[in-house]
Amino acid sequence: MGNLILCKSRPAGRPYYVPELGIHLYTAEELSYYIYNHLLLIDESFPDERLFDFLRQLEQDKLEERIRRLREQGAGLYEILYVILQDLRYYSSAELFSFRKQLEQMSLSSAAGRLKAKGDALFARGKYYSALRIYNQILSSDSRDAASPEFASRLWISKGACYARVEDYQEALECLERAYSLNRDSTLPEKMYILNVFMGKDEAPAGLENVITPEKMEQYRSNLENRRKLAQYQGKGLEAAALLDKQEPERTEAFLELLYRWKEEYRRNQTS
Amino acid sequence: MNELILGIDLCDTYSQISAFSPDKPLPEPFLMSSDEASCLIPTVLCKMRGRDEWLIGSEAYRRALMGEGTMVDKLVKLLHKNGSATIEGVQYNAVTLMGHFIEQLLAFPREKYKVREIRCVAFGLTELNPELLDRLTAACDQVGLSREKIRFLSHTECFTYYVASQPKELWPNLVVGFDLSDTGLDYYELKAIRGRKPQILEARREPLEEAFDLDILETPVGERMADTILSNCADRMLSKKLVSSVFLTGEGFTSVAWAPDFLKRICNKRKVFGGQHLFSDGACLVAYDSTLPESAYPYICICEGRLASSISVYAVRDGKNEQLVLASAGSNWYEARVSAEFILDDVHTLDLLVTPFSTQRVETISISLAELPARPNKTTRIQLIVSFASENHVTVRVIDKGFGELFPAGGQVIRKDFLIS
Repeated sequence: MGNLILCKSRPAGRPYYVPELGIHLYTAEELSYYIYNHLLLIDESFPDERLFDFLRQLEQDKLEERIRRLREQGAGLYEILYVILQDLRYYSSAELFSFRKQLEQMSLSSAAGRLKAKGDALFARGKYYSALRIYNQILSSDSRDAASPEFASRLWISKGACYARVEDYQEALECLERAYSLNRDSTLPEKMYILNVFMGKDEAPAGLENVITPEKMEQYRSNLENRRKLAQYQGKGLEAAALLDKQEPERTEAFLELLYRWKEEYRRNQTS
Repeated sequence: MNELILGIDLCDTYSQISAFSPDKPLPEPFLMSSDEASCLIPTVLCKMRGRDEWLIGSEAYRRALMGEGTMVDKLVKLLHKNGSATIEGVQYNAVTLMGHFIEQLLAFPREKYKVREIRCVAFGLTELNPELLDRLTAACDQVGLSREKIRFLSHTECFTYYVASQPKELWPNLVVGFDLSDTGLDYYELKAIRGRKPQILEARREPLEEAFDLDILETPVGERMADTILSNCADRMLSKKLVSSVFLTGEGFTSVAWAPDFLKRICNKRKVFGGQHLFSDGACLVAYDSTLPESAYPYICICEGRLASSISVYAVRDGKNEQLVLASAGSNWYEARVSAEFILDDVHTLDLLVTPFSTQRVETISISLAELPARPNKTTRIQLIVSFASENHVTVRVIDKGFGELFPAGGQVIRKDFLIS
């Protein structure tokens, strides 16, 4: 059986900005939700003056003091996050227990692994340039993980995916070539061929002529065609198809609105 | 005295005004002369010809009769039906006219006590109709009385507070009241339910069919007839009841010499009081009480104008699941509007608990939230607004507030009206 949760306080006049998501948080409940569900996006710089100002507006002065004290005592980020969730009491004991497990799992992974997870989380939210910055940061670091060919290959694949999403297919192809050179992942040739197709070249990328046989190329073409068809019934395609049920002039208006929203989304992705 | 605390009994025929005196903690009626009956101020307004001057009461009658101005009467009824009156070719709406009446009425205590500022005014009315109250609020606003300075009460509430202000020896058992005026004969009954904390005062009003035109009191035959009518009423209403006190009010009881039989019946082992300003005094007591940090009347009043049931909801506050009372039994329905915000945690229907004051049998009213947008759990904030159109009619509105910029609001509003006991 569910519960109603009485909201703690009025929304803050000066909201807390989350650049990774491009949104503002206004309430204690939103802050709790952000921490609980976007843990990968949060780094050591989180408990700062901006957060303290936000907590004061939410009349959480005691929590602010507690975090300051914890910081002075050298407490880690995860401990601080747990204390925030515990104090705001938005999540039940069972949910906090599960959160603690998540923190424990996170603390077991390496710094480079955690950073990559953050990059992946940003990618999943359409923040391709932010994700790229994270992947570059790991690749340029001298961490042991980044030196491993398998891990580095995964980073280059992720970079390639970011470039593909912002329609820079040449850069994307180069990233996948680097990834392939580090680790002969058998799924990569097809992706590289598709990038070539997107650039108007219906041929195997340079150096892969021996790997991508005419039969395989035919198979890749067929797969691409199927994906295109499928795309009409998923995600954005589905969103657009739903508007066909509307009558004119609402239909045209709805399409224009949808187009505007997509453009805005694209612009945002180009800059974040 | 820096600020006035007033009670106004606003009726269609006569109005009365009482002021809370700081010298002795009692309401003091405003009298136009030394005669007790002069507290009855005719609810009429007269605009002086060619001048922006307004008069009320007997003076308004007199000037209108002399042809010096134009008179408008039945101002409460006019306000109720949102009517208007045309004076010297200008149309005045009922709110404006009531505003002029209230302004002139307030001038009496302002002049008497030489105090202009008003702290609180409580209006006693026969009927608490939402539209009437909204228009009366607008009329008050017109004369500089903001919403937080005014209160509205039913006559039954005024009666209850008046009795509760009297020594407890007067109300160990039932207390009844008769209000005889040109507009009708009303019977009031107050019962103190002991053994519960806080103590409950349950009151009711019953308009009696035996009402008569007060003009019949102008002849001895009419007086005898009226006495017989009231005596029969007393027999019917008071038989087999343990009544401690009886209060008589209204212009019909300005004198009681015409009703010897009636008096004989009601005075039998009871204390009987007569007075013209019971409702304005009761209203004044409420006005004063609302200025205190803690009420001087630690009772739950259940009567016309007051909620007979509490409305509550179970919700988690600071990690603990508890019953939150949204509106308490005994609250004035007009002031009982409440708004609170909640997050839905796996909740698909909103269950409101209605608990009548007289029993502990809880009725659950479920409101489906299926119309709200589908979102992940704990990411829908709702604003719950509970308001009342009368003591029985509850309106519940659930407004989707989204979850900040994470999940923007859809603006859906779910409304449900229901009746409670």
